[in-house]
Amino acid sequence: MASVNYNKVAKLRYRSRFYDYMVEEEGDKSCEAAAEQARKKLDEAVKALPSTGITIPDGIVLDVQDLCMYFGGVKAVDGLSFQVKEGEIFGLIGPNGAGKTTVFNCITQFYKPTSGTLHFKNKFGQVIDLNKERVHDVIIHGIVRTFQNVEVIREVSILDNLLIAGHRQYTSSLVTQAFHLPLLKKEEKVVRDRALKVLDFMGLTPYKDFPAVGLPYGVLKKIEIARTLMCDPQLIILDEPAAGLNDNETAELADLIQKIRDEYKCTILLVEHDMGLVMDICETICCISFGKRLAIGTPEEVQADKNVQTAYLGVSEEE
Amino acid sequence: MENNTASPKNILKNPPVQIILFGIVLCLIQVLSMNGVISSSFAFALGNTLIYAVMAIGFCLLLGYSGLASLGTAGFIGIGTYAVYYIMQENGYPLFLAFLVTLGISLGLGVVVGFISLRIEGIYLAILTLGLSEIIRNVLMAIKPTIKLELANSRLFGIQMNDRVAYFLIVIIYCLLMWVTSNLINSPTGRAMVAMKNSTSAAQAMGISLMKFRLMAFVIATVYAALGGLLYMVYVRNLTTSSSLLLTLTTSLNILGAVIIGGSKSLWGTFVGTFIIYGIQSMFLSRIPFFVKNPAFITMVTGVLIVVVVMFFPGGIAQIASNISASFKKRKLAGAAAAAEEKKGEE
Repeated sequence: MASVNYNKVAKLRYRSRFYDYMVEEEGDKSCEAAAEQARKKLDEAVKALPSTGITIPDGIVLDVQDLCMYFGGVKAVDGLSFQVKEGEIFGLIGPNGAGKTTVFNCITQFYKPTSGTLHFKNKFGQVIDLNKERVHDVIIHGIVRTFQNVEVIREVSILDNLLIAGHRQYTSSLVTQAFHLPLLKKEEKVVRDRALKVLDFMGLTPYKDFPAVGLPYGVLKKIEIARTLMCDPQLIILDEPAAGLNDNETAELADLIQKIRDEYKCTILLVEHDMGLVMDICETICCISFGKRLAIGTPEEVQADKNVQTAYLGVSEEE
Repeated sequence: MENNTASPKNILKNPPVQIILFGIVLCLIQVLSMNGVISSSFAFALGNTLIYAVMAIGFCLLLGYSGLASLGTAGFIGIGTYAVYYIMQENGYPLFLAFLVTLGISLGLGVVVGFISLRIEGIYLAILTLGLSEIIRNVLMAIKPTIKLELANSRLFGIQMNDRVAYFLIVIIYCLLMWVTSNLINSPTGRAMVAMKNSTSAAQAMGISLMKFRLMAFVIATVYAALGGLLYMVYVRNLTTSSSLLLTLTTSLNILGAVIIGGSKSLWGTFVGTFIIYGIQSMFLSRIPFFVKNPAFITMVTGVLIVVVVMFFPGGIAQIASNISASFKKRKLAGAAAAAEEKKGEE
């Protein structure tokens, strides 16, 4: 199983980061040796990763080729291909029922595609075949997503929501957790600190101890985005981030998405119905309808495309 | 972690301190009953309640935190009781070995059963575990319908385990499990379980393996139930499987009821819940002549309580407690705000 190796590397990576933090932020000299050792172990493990033998062109982070997802006779996604460049904001648009969310679900492995390839350049610089990964392992490669219908953990506070997102960053064993040994307490502090930084970045600090239930929709949407930032994203997948937001909030969101891309040096892939937002911030747009690609290119190119106009506005009878 | 300012109020808010204090109180009750201040049957009933509370902690983690409903508790209790019987009574080994064997068997069984059954959810999981529990009960009954542990064979590190010593053992194990469970709840594991209960897709997207944490919660509940069985056998020392209700659905349902009455997301609530279901009945109601004459009414009282709690306080007794403390806090905040206003006015 390929993910076993990556799991180990991811753990080593967080272990190393933990010791670095202890040395740098906490000034704990006793951790220096451990930090050095952890770094060395991580380097070795990354080098030892077996080559996957898959190549994608330079500067491409996600390569989708001939993706098909059939539900019985329904062809939700039918032979879709596109490439997402590193560091860009990529918009996936299409009329209702075009299969946009299905594409997302395939990339994040919530659905196993019927056929097609999904190649992704992960955090360790390796190109992997996403179809071989399990749904909960996708995150260690750097793909994080939000949901269309806001899946915030309602029973716990906002801060705890972010700690849940940082789940994979804990390296403590079950025994350490059961007896609350010092390692867990330190790790908890490191992850909590990161969470507070993310909350600060998102402007959610005043809400940090609020239970997630009963907060305004705009805040819940922000929590979801904050959660993705907790996970060291390489590719953030946003499913309709502007749905249900008013104009002010949408404008704020547009700024935020660009700020995230610049600050966190990640790629953003989004599905959105708000054309204003998409045309404003996306560098590349792919328009799909009934699971097939209609057009791909810059916002101007897509807007000018005849097929796209037909799909959205229908055929004018005079022609 | 929170700031650890060492004011006495904050120390009392520390879960380990609370648990130790509670343990001391429980031990004191037994000491008082030794001196004749409290009747010994009262202390015995309290010990019995604590055994069920041990099982309820595990079930609380399973239902309240992971959102899985299992009705197989009784079967796993049986594993504990029979392990004690065969190891201590038949072979004369000490309690410590029985403890290890119970842990081992319940761990193994929990993993196997969990691995097969946790692919299904909700009511189907409850039905499956119920069936399994009945299978275990019938197998155990076929092996030996009545088991009895002689007092002479019940030893831990050379100490004779009579009722009173066993009571202290129960308190120690109860407090230890409370501590471990509250630690787990306040660690990534516990948070992963809550995430899984609230939204499976969000949990998966955050890198939480559903199978791993479902299995973990299930195994923990299994082990706690088996430990409850072990304690029961050491404390009560005999069990007639065919006529006793211990290994039947009744126990599983009672524990489910206890956890719901107490508040499925509160560890202290589980104790209150078990106390209401098992404690009140054996400690107070069974002294009132009316209930002694008509024992069926005792069950009715519990039933009415469950109905009342579920209807008016879906979060259980723990919800009532937190409501009260929240209203106090609100009053305090309002008071502070009023004081601030007044100050402003003066200026």
